[in-house]
Amino acid sequence: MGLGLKINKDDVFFSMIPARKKDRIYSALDIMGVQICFGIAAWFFLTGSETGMLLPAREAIACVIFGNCFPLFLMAIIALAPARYGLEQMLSSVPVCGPRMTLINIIFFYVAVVGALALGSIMFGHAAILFWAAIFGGGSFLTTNYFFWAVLCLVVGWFFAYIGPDNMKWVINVAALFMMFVLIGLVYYIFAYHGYHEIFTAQPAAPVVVPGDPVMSHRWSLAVALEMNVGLGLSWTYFYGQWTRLAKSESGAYHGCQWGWGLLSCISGVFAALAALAIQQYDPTIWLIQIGKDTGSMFLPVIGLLLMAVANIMAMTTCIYPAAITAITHYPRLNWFTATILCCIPVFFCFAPGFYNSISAIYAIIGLVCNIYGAVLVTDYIFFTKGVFSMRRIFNMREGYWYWHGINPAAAIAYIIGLAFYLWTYNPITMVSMNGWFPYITAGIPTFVLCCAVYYVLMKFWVLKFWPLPILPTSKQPAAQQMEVRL
Amino acid sequence: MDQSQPMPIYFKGMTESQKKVTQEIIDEWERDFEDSVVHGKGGYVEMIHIRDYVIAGLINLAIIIYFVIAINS
Repeated sequence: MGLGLKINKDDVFFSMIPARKKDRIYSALDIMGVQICFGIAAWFFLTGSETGMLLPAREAIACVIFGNCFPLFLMAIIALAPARYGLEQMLSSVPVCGPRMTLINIIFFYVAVVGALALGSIMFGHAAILFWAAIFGGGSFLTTNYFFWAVLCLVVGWFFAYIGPDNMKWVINVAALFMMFVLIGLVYYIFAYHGYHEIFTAQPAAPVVVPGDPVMSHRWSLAVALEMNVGLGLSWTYFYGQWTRLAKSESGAYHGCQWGWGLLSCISGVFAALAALAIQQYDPTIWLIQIGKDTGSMFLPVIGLLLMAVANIMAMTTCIYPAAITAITHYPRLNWFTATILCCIPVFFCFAPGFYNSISAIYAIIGLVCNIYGAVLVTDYIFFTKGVFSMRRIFNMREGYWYWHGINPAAAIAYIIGLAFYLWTYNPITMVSMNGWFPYITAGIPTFVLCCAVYYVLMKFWVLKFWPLPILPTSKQPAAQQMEVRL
Repeated sequence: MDQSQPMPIYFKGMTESQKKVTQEIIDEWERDFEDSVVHGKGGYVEMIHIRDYVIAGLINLAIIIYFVIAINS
């Protein structure tokens, strides 16, 4: 049965209005393409590179693949609720966290967005000045100011986000295919030029060193590399729903995100780890210049730098769109232009040189905040709601899923315990483990398991007794029966 | 609030026209899809199948086994 009001697709693509069946434009392959474009960018190149600086090839490849794929498997069901209701990610988590706690999630979400945009645009800047110098010679404004190129990357990425998901779909699919082909070619080059034996016997350039204790040094290197990759794998948690609300099926949303961000994007992390081992340099832009010197031709460097340009611009696009949709959902009077611009402005404060070289700390922190949010959503889906919510209650921010003063206390306590446990186990800034457990266990996955357990126990034995789940279907009850017992 | 009526929309910042559109979409959802979703069937789109979880689980099991072998060999 149709609606009395006419709603066109643009109303859905650029606002918080739930996406119905006819508004869904992304198949599983399209979602995969979007997430490949989002995944293959500065973050994968830099985490892969640092993994190659810490570990030999056999362990580095395993760390990149497991560290990224397994967290995505744990989190994958987060894609389902937004696909089911056509709602943006933060709105679809209101029934779990409560409306006021959603504001905390939004703050964490924007920490992740700004970090990601800054890394991607700075990497583009670094690549561009090297490229310009290699082609036209050094000494000019364009070969000394990466800031200029970073802003250019942000502007181009912003433009594709601004035109919306329908138009950007084709650009993204072409870019995803291009990147996959170039990456497979570059991995082939690494093996063809340096040889299997050289790569797999190369020692990492910058492992963690515990003086006089090689076993502990290796354990620390492995734990830091794994933590960083797990952090990247967990860092997608806030970005599911803004895309999967447009998915044509729940299966497409589930698989598209899991393999697009996971196994397929991992090719760039594996390439980065192998290149860092072969060339013994952290900065991915330097490898490409080195490849040019090795081969005596600019063909591969130009293709590689083009890859980084496309990768980072598309990453800007696929990051700005969800950020803007979240902004417009929670501040519905914003117009689309303002929402997209507002997401970009804080990035300018992150253009300091030290930011680019702090990838392990940045992704450990982003991974941490995404981790606890994901743990709560996953536990709630599996054990309590099965992702069945009342849409009417989601849109009543005063009476709907109100819990205690707008906060689900089980989620809030799980957040606090998760944060405390993580920082007690591993401080990503100082690389110190207060309880001494860190090189033996990592911090990300144990924190996830702990948060799940805390949330489950508190919901089961406390919260649901005071605030029981609503009886659905909602439409068959008057408001008096829809209200819950509240403190 | 009239207790015999369904819970109204309350969403800070929403314009009247947005409220009207959202209200109609919610009414349509409750009328056409909510009951189906409550009973484990599809809503706007087809629901996920058990085989999707099984496929993802098997691939990830292979990844875990590979990781353990690579780290310990």
